[in-house]
Amino acid sequence: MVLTIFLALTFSFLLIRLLPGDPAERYYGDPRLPIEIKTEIKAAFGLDKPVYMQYFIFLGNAVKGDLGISYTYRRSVVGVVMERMPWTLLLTTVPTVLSMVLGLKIGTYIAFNRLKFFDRFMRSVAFALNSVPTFWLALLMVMGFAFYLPIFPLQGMIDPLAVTMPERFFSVLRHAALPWITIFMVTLPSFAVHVRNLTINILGEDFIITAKAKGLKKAQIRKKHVLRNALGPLFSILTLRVAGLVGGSVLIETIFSWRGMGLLVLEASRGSDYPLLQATVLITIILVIVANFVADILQAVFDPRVRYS
Amino acid sequence: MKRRGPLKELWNSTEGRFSLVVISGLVILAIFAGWIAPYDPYDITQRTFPLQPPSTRHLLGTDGFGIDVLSQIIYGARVSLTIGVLVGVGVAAIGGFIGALAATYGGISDTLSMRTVDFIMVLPGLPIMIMIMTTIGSSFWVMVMIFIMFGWAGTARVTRAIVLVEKSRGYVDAARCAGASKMYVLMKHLLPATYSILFVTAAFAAGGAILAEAGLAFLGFGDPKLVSWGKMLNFARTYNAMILGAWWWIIFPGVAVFLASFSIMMMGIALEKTFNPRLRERDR
Amino acid sequence: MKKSLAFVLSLLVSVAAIASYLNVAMIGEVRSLNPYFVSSSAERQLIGYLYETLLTTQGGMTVGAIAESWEVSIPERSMTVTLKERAFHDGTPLTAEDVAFSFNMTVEKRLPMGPLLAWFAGAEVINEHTVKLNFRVLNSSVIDMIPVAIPIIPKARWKDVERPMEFSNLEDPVGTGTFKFSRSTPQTVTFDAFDKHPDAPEYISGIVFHLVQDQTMGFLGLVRGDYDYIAWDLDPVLATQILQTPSRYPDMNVAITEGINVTSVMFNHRREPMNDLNFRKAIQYAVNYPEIIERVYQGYASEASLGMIPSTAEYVYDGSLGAPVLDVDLARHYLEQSDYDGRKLRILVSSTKEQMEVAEYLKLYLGRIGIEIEVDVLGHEAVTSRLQSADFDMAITGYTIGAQPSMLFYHMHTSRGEIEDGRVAGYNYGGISIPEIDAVLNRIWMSFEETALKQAFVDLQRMIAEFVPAVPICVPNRVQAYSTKRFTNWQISDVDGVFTSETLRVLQPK
Repeated sequence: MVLTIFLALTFSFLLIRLLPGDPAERYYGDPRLPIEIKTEIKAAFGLDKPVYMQYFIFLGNAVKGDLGISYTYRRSVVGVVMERMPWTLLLTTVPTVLSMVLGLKIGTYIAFNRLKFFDRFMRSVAFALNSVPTFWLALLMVMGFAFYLPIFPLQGMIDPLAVTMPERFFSVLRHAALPWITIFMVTLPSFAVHVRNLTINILGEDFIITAKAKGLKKAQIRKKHVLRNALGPLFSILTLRVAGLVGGSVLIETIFSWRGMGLLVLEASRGSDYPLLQATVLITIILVIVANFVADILQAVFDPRVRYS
Repeated sequence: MKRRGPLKELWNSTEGRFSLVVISGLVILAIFAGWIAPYDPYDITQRTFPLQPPSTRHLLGTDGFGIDVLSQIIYGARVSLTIGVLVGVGVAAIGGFIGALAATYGGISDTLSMRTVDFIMVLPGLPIMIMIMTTIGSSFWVMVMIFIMFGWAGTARVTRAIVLVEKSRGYVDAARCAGASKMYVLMKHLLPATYSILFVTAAFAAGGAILAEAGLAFLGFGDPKLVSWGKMLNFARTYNAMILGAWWWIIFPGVAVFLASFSIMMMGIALEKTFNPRLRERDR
Repeated sequence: MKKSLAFVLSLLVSVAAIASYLNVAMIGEVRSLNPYFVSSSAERQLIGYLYETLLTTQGGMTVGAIAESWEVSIPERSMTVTLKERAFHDGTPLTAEDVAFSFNMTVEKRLPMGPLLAWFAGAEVINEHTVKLNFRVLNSSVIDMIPVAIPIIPKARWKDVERPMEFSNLEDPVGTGTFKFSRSTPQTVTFDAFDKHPDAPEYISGIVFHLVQDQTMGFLGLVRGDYDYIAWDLDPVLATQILQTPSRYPDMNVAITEGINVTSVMFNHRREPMNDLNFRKAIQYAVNYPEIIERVYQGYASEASLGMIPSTAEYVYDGSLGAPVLDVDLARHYLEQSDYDGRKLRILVSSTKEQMEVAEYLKLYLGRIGIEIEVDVLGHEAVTSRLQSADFDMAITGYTIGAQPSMLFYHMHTSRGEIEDGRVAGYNYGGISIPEIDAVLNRIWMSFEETALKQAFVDLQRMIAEFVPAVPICVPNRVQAYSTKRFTNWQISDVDGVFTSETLRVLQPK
């Protein structure tokens, strides 16, 4: 885990170094400064040292949790990123958890009622949604439910005039509703189908056949065996989604003007704020790596097959 | 029993037939765009009044620049399909090769490549793509490279699994005993066994690439010189299509992206079913 | 059920509370309110309400802001400024001490504020209301630029700031401007009117700035009445639609005023054949100006003057020179006289809709007289970098000279086009080097007196019309949208548009 984090750090350092031009110049913004001021600024940022020294300084600072100063925010990039993170988590986790819970139910249901109408319907929806550009769908949602039928706010996260706690709470809820629905719509069917396929595979396994032979009822099988055994693989699907949970969805956040991590990446890119861009991506990667590490351990706890092997 | 040609087999399934028809239609549009499209979107003299709703002169209307939407969609097929094909082929070739290599040789090369695969699979794709495109610039080829870079991992993992299964069969050992080198066995026996699955993953990668290209172009990272569906949507959003009531400017490019990606993924499913009849039973 | 009730309730509460706050939508981000470093146009506007400078520009002339009066001493290379009575938002009075501190900080902390500060030597306090600014070099540009650029900050709050470059100033920014900071949320900044300022608004209690991500959202908010004004220029297509179907947009108004930005063709004078006057004239006569105004800008642009300076710079604008015209025969004639060898030229353009279209039309027009060009579309930053390294043949660019025509010195003087370390030293990316133009620019540079300055500008515009250093194409109008649903008495100035300090002063809630 430490090794991969180290690799990620190195990669991002090199990428920023690959940029044409002088990094100091990007900080002070104007190439036409007197030379002595330029030298001074370079020294202040350690940019007068050879590249390998800069690399070690960068690593040292990163370990201390210092990834530099944003060109545009004029303060520590880590602070800026950490302010955005909760908003993204709010946006992503709620619909993901919801679609997981519901997906589990629907997925096992259609697995037991396989090839019936609802199963076919769910699968075709999931498959079709795979090919629908999510940002386009979000755009249509805004067009339909915030513009033509103004049920939801067009964009944003909170009403500026909401002052008291309950006011703010409901204001956020109202603003989050449409993006939540959009994310939920996209994730639920695919999740349900995942669960379905997992369940069908498990149903074919020996111990279920034994259970059936023992005369257990469907519901019992579903509860006792299938769910327990599906949890492990489901967990690994979830770990694949961690990047999206933490890093946010650039496209969804853009369309709903949700100022989370995704918009931060875009904003840093547009403002050529390289330290901020680097930090946002790096922090996402590091969190993802850590989350995967934790997930591996948890999976071993949950999934009997992993534990015994 | 003699196996039928894969194309014929594809044609026999509904999905296969649908995807073949749509894809070949799109390919024809892309190749003969210059003849088929009623106007040339790159030619400024062929622009008319902006925001005309669909009519007989402009079947899908005109956008805020006065450019015929249908013609843009036809020309845009070039970008989407080329990206799809290049990424599909690239992902299958690189992923397949690395996966097969890892499985054949095992040991350190296996661990190393599978660790890399694990790493790539969990990375936040879009932010990193944005970071790369911000630093080195966005162009068609940069986009293709990045998509392949992120896409090969999944294919490598699947290929490796298949080759491992194949390796455990008797004939590989027999070939090795007969003195065949590992490389020879890999090229002659193991890789061909993966071809079917490579076709499937290539199709999915291509469909994914079309979506990803649309997304990046929508965010403004598309090649500024090329007409593409994602860029049309980007302009539609930037230049107020919604307020102007120009639904045709938003709906049709999105439908085009969906159709292209959908038909290619559908082809993947159809291929999967012809190669793997067991699935047919499960997912009829 | 409960939830929907809460929705309605929260809606009602929010409507009640916004009574006399003006709601303004802005695009972009407010990341810091450090008045020395502005990284977005939203920040620039907010800083403009919070902070003031000694001088400011109006209609092309420099006028006092905090400065009551000022005197320039040429032998001493200094400027002595008497201050108006002002107070900071926290109640403390503004003194000469604060002004001197604001200026000296740029030198002491080595703030990278461009080459201008290489000319600034320091400020000294003469008495409580008088400050003396000393310069290394004195010319009219120094006076135009430095006292206009340096924000006046309270010394008491800033003296402990160790590294101003890393100070975001978001907590409680204090200046002397007409509005004071109240609070901010992730997507809004609220300012209250600062009653102690003489130009403070009379009827509105403040402004809520809403930071929106894109124009569509902001505009829809304006239509729905969430916002009273959107702080960016409307897309011409949209403006047309509003004006054509007013019934669909009740309460919506569009103010069309003269622009300050001259869309032009920039030449790289270091290269053949762009250094040839006949070639540049050929291009000037080849362009169909009305067509560009009609097709690209939907009519929302004015003809440019041959003298480049737009009419918003009313004190120095010379309207008698007329606009460039289309004359294909004349264009062919000049082209024959030139040493153009028929090779393909490239035109650099940044990827905005209007610039891209102008470039496409230019390609068409030049093709008609036999000049083959290829359009290079790049992102804004990539374009700037290519311009700075003088790596281009021609470019479509906007000269922002309507507010500050003396900027032309930086765009056209030989010294500003010299190349140092592979980079152009100033804004004269094209390396324009025409002795006659240099001579007039030098005169402007040394004119501290109004009539001499005006005469020099008149001569400059003649020279520009004669030597065609660049081809002005048009001056896009400012197209601003505002809503009279909640506020009335909007003032429209042909020079400054609709959202002016005058408008804010007299705007009345309905």
